[in-house]
Amino acid sequence: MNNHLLSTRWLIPSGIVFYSSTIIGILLMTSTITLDTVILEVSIPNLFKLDDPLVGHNQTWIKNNWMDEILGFLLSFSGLIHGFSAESDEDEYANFLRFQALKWSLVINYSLLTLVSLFVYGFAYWQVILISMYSVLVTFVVWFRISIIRHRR
Amino acid sequence: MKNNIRVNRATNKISQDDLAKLVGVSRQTINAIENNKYYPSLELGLKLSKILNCSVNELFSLDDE
Repeated sequence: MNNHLLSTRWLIPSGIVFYSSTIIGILLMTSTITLDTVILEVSIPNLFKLDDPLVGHNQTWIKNNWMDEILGFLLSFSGLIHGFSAESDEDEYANFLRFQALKWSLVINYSLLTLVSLFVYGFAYWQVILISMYSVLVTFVVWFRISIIRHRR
Repeated sequence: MKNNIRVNRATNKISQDDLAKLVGVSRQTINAIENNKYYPSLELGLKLSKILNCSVNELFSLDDE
């Protein structure tokens, strides 16, 4: 059966990166801690030159701190690898649990997002959208991991 | 859908663990199938029937049958 999964050897390293970046991300969002450093502030090409007060007025190059971009990249990339790496005892039931986790993650996240779209406005809505970028992946991975642990008992 | 895997397994004197190894899944998956928590694929159903020396119809049946 070809299930298009990555090798099992990626499971632990990607898990370490994913859970670490998730915890750091949650800490950064819920506290006043900041990872901004001068070292990571670099000039990058502004590909989408929108007249946006947050980014800049039609600037070709903008100054930006890459810390949050790196964290977002690590979370997304490691989450995908961790969620789609084969388990050590991978079989069709594990694949079924993975599909169920993905399904419920989408249902829950988009149900909440639908409610939020109706009742949350302004800067709070922008923050919810930011969280929802990652919450689908986080919910999927955590749900699947719990399902697998319960299955192995 | 219901199944007779547990009965057929006992008849053939095969443990869950042994059956799992023979068909290439985990023991917990065999347990989930026996308890109707999971319906196996056609491929796994055919493998199970081959190992347990019976037809797929003898192993699996619809609830109203």
